[in-house]
Amino acid sequence: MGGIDLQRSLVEVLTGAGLSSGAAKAIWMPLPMILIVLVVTVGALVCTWLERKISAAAQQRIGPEYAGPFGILIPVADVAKLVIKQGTPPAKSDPLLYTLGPAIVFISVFLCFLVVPFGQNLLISNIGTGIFFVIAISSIAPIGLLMAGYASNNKYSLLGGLRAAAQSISYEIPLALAALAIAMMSNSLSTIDIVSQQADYGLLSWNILRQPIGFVIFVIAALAECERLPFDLPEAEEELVAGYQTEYTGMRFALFYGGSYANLVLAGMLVSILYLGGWELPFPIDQVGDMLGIAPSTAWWQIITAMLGITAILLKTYFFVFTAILLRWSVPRVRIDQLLDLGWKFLLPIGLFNLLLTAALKLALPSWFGG
Amino acid sequence: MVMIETKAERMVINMGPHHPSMHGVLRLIVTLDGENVVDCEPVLGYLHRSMEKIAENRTIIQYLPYVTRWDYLATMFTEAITVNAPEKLANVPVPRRASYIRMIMLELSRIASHLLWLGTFVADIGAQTPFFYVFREREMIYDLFEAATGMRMMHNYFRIGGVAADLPYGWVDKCEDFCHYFLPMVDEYERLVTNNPIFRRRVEGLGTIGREEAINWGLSGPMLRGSGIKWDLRKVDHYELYDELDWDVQWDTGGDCLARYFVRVREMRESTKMVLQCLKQMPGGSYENLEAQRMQAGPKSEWNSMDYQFISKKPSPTFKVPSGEHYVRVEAPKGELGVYLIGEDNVFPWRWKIRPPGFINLQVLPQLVRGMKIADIMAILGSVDIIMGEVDR
Amino acid sequence: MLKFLSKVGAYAKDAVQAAKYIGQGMGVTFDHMRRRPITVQYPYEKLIPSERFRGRIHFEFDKCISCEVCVRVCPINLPVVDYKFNSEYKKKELKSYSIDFGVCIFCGNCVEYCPTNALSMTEEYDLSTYDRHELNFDSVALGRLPTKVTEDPLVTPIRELAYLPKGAMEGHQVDHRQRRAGQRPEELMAESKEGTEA
Repeated sequence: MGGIDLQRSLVEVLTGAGLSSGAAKAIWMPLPMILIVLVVTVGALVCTWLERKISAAAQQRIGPEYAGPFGILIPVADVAKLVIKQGTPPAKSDPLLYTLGPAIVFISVFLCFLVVPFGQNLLISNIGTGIFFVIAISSIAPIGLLMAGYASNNKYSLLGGLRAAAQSISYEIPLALAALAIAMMSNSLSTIDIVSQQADYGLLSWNILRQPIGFVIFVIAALAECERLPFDLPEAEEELVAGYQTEYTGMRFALFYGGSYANLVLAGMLVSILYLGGWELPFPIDQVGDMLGIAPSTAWWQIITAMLGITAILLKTYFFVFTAILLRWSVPRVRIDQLLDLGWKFLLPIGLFNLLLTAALKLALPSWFGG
Repeated sequence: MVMIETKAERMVINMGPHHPSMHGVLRLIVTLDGENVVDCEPVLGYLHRSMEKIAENRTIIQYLPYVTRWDYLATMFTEAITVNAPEKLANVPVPRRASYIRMIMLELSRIASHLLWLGTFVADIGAQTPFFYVFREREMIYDLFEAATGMRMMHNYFRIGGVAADLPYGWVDKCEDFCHYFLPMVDEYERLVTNNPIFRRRVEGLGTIGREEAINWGLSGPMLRGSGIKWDLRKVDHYELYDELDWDVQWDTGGDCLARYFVRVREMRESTKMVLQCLKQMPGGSYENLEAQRMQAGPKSEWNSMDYQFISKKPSPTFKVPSGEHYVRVEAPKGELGVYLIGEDNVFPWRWKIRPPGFINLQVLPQLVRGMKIADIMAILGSVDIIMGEVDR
Repeated sequence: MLKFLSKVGAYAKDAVQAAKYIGQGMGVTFDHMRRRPITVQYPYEKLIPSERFRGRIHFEFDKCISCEVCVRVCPINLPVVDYKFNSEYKKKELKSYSIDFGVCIFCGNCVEYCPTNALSMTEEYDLSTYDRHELNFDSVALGRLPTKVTEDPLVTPIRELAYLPKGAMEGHQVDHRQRRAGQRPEELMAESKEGTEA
C-alpha cells in the first residue's frame, strides 16, 4: 500500500548521515509525541475560538473581534491569562487529589490521541487494540473528575463529580457497543484497518451508510462523554454553579478546560474515523491517480494525497465539532434521571440490537458487511 | 415505584443568594437525598429596601421614581398602581388619550416582562440562546420607552391624572412596526423551544398546581391562569379602558410549568394585538400631532379642553392624599399587583401596603419542589417568575 | 409479540419526532448565523440617546430664582440650593447650586417642575470617575455644555428604533440621511391648512 512513511524516511536520512539505526530511532521517538501534543493543543484552542464565534453568530452577536484577525488570538490570551493566574485551593481540600484530578483528566484525553491517525502512516502507534484502547483510556477520565469533585470540599463539586462518574459509566457501554459493531465489520480493532476498509468506493463505502443506527448511538454517546450541552450535567451552570470545576482556577482549571475541548476534538476524530471514512476523500483518490496515470509511489503524489487526507479528516472532525457547538446553543439540558434513562433504556438496547443486526447481516451479506 | 432502601446522609445545600440561577438574591436552603430534593426553605430579605416605609414620608411625585425598583422588569405596572391608588382615592379622572397611552405602555411592558421571563426560564433549563433573542426584541421595546419617557427602565412616566408627556412624533408608526415585527418572532421562539423534546420532558407535568390549590395559595397571574382559572383583573376590575379593546383572557388547564409557559407566550401575542388596537383607536387628535393642532388653533383654542391639554398641566407636587383607605390592584405580568392605601388628608400617605405578586406566588415553591430532582428546582422557580425587587421590596 | 412490535413502533416514531424537533430548533439557530449581528460595538459605535433622554442635568445659574421646588420634588431632596435673602431688593440671591450625581437617580422631577426652566436634561450618560466626590457637580460644572455622541469623530452614532424611518427595525442598516417616521408638526399644519383652504 502507498502512503508516506516519515519514520522510515527520517531514519534512512539519519543513518545515511552516519548514525547508528538505534540512535536514529531514538531521535525520531520524541518528535511525534511533541507533534501530537502541539496538534491536539492547537486543535482544542481552535475549538474554544470556534465555540465563541459560532455561539456569537447563532445569537446575532459578533464575538471576539479585536484580538487578532477575527479574534483568532483570543485562545492565546485565554491560555496566557490562565497560566499566570494564581491557583487558590479551597480550605480543607485534599491537596494531592485536588491537583491530581485535572492532571488525570488531561492525560487520559491526550493518551487517546496515540492511536488516532491523520493518514496512512501518520499516527504514533498502530496498536492492534486501537479503538478499544481509546475507550479504555477515556474511561479513566471520570476518576479524575470524581477526584476533583471530592477533593474540592464543596457540595456542588461533589454532586458534579458524582454526576460525571454516573454519566461516563452509563455512556461508555453504548459507545463501546457502537464501536464493537464497526470492529466486527472491519475484522479489526486497529484504527488504520477500520479506515482502509472504508476506502474502496469513496463516499459510498463509508460506514455511516452501513451503520446508521450505530452512528446515531455513537454521536449521542460521544456528546455525553464530552459533557456537551444536552448532557453537560456535571458542570450544569444553572444547577451546580460549575460542578466539579467550581473551585478551580488558573492552570488546574486550564487543564479541565483544555481537556474538555481536546475531548471534543477526539470525539470528532473518532466519529470521522469510524463512520466518515477517516482521511479518505468522498471519491477514491487512488483511482483518480490511476486514471491520471500517476504511479502511487510518486513522491509528490504521495505528499498531495497525504495533505488531502489530513485536510479531509480535519474537515470531518470540525464538522462534527461545529454540529456539537450548534447543538449546544440550541437545546436545553436533560435531567439526570432522563439522562440515565436515555443511556440504559434507549441507547443500550438499541446498541445491542445494532450489534445483533450487524452480526446477522455480516453472515447474510458478507461481501457488503465485511465477511 | 419500589425504590431500594439506601441509607444515605442527607446533604443540606445552600443555593444563593449568589447562585447563577437564583433570580437575584433569593436563597434556598435545600435538603438533598442524592439528587432528590427532600425539603426546601426560601430565605428572603436580601434586597429589602423599606419601600413601604419610604412611601410614608414621600409625596406621590417624590415616590414615583422609587416604584420602578419594585419589579424592575415590568416597571410600567408599578407606576400604574402608584398613580391609580391616589387617583381612585381622590376621584381624579383620567383623560381618554392618557388612558390609551397608559394601556399601550402597560401592554408593551407586559411583553417586555414576559420576554425576559421566557429567556431566563429557558436558560434555567439549559438553553442559553433564546435569552439573546428575547433581548433583541426587549431592546426594541426599551427603545420605544426611551423615546417616549426618557429612560429605558426607570421611566417615571405616569402621573396622577395622566402621563408625564405625550408620545413623540413618529412613535406610533414605530410602535406599529414593532408589533408587526414581533409576532413572527414569537413564532420563531416557539419553533426553537416549544416542541423541543428535551424542553417538553423537562417541564411537562412538573410543578403541578391544581385549581383549588392555586386559589387557596392566593396565586395570581399566569400561575393562576395556568391552573385553569380564567381570572384576569383587566376583565374583572375594568380599569383603564380595557373594555374598549377586543381581547381574551389567556389560560390553560395543565397547571404545570408547560401550561404557565403557554399562558405567557399567548399573553405576549394577545398584548401585541391589544397594542395594535390601542394605536388604531387612540383618541385626542389624529396620532401624536397635538402640537400641530395647537399651533394651528392658536393659544386659546378648544384644544385647551381637558382631553388635549392634560399633558402640560402638571399634577401638583403637593397633591394631598385624601382621608380614607382602599385597596387598588392591577394585573401585572406576574400577577395581581395591589396597593392598600390609607390617606389622612396629607401630602404623605399614612400607610402604603404593597401586595407584590411575586411574594405571594413564591410561597408555593417549597411544596412544588419537594420530592423533585435538584434540576427541577430551577425549572419550577423559573416558571413561578419572581423578581426579588418586588418580593423583598 | 404484536404488542411488543407496536410498542417498538411507537418508540421509533417518538425518536423520529424528537429528532425532527431538535433539527427544527437547530434550524432556527443556524438561520441566525446568516443574520447581521444586532449588537452595538460600544466604544466605537454608540446609540444616540432619545430627545427625552434623562442624562446629566444642565443648570443655568442666571435663570434660577432659588425657589427650591427642585428640592421638594426630588425623592431625596438632593439639590443643594445656597442662597441669601437680599433685603434691599426683596429677592433671593443664589450663591451656589450643586447636585451630586453619585446619588441622583435621574428621575427628572426637578427638571419637570422647575418654574423657570433653569434645569434641563442632557444626553450625557457616561459619568464614571475614579473618585466619587468628582460626581458632586457645582453650578459651574452643571453649566457645562454636554458632549454629544453625534459630534464625536471617533464614534459611529446609531439611531434607536423609535427614530428610524417607518419599516426599518435595525439602526445599523439605515442610512443616516433617511428621515425618521412620522410627520413633523409644521408639516401636519401645512397639510391641514391646505385641507381647510381647499
